[in-house]
Amino acid sequence: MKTTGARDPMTFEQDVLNLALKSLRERQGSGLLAPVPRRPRPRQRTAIAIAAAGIAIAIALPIVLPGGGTGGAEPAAAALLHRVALRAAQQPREPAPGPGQFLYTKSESFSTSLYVVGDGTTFLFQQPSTRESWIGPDGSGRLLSTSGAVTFPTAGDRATWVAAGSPDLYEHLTEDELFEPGALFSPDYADLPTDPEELLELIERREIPGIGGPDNDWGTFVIIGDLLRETSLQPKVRAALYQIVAEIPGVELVGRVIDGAGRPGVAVAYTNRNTDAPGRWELIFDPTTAALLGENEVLVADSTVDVESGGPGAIYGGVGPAGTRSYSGTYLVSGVVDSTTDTL
Amino acid sequence: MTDPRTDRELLVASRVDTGAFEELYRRQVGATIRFAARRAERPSDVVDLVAAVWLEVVASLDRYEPHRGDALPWILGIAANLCAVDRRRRAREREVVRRLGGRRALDDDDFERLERAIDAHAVAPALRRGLRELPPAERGVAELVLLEGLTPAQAAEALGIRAAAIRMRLARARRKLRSVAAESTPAARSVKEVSR
Repeated sequence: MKTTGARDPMTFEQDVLNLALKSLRERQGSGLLAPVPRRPRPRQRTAIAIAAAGIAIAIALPIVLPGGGTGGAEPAAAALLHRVALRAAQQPREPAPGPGQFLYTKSESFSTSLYVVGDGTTFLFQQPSTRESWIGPDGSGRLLSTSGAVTFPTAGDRATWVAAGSPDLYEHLTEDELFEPGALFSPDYADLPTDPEELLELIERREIPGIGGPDNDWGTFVIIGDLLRETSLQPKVRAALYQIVAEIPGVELVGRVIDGAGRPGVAVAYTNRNTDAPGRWELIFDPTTAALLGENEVLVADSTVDVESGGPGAIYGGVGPAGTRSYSGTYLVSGVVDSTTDTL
Repeated sequence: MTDPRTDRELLVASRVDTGAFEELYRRQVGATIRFAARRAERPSDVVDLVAAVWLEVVASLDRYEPHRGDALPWILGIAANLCAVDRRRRAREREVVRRLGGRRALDDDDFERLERAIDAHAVAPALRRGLRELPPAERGVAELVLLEGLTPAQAAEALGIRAAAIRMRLARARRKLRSVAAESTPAARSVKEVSR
């Protein structure tokens, strides 16, 4: 790229770009870069982060259609999902918040995180938190979250924390914030198609506002989880989503489970190994109302992170040995209220 | 003809499309130059840092999660981490630059533009000193919010830290910087305003 004239017309910006492009081509050529984003982490999907985006993420990449398989979900899982879909369709229409009202939700979560002490030293810790949100149709509202007491998966993790001088892990921290109209992501899903095929087409084209995911079956599973979580949807849309899950190859039946709040539920799961944090993600439904009760994410292989990229004090999710419950969420209540101080 | 894609679409598409990367670079290289000019004293340091940032952007492309935040905060987060973290990584970037054939020397025009950029974006010495004295974790947060104008939520995304954690760090950083803010330079005033 270097020119040979006496006076080089290339600016340093062009010079740096050429270097970066060289590096990019190397990485593309070596297959280091997957053409789709890394697995989204549902817990990171805060309303604020999305507010910053404010728009649909239409990713202009080829869609990988369900990998040639004819099957769809494992038969037992598909049968369950079709039953849940029927239940969903029979539910009364959920009220959507009108002007001046808010969709209120309360949830609990539990996550395992990795703390970077520095010099390659890290430890894992676990922490529950509760979250309440009030989101109005105009994007105004309130987010209230409180973190709970930290525990350590092993005595070694605790010892590392102590040896590092017991750094603050933000226990019992309450964040309470009010938001102006437009500040929170408040999608209007009233017009989503109730026909599963039409809905699937929208999902596969990644054209639903505010919802994005990798262009593969895993991404479709993720998107459906996002659509079911803390949203107000027409019963038939919810039913269509369950029918779509039944068509995703790789979806397995977990069977009866007890959710984080002690409620009985039924669960299906998708295991994604094609990522640097291979995990099994379970969605738990109420078998009678078809509501999403909760979700669990368990690592199925050891997962590490390049700790240098964050520096001392950085905290990462989705990291730990195989079997780590990296995240679970439990959806407790959801409904329409008249002010950001009302609860259900 | 302007590319209608958003920055985040370009960043995602860059994995497979060098044209998308070029367009994103064209749009945001200025922001990274400003970032570097605030932290460097010599033109060649600015270019070193800008090159390191964009090489790191390339190396981290598959870690970008578009639903988590916009492209520029993510890029500035990489820049902040490069500054905060360590010299080892910077050394590695220089190694990459060498392997890729090296950079050419700065010509007079570049040199002068960069000197001007450094002057224009100079941070008040007192504030710079104050920032330098913060522990690395707090410094990264404080710089992104106070100097680059990111919101705390964007800074949290950029640095891969939870919003709760970033608020604590920012609060601590502001307390430490408050004495600096008493000196009433424009940059220091902005600290006061933000810290209210």
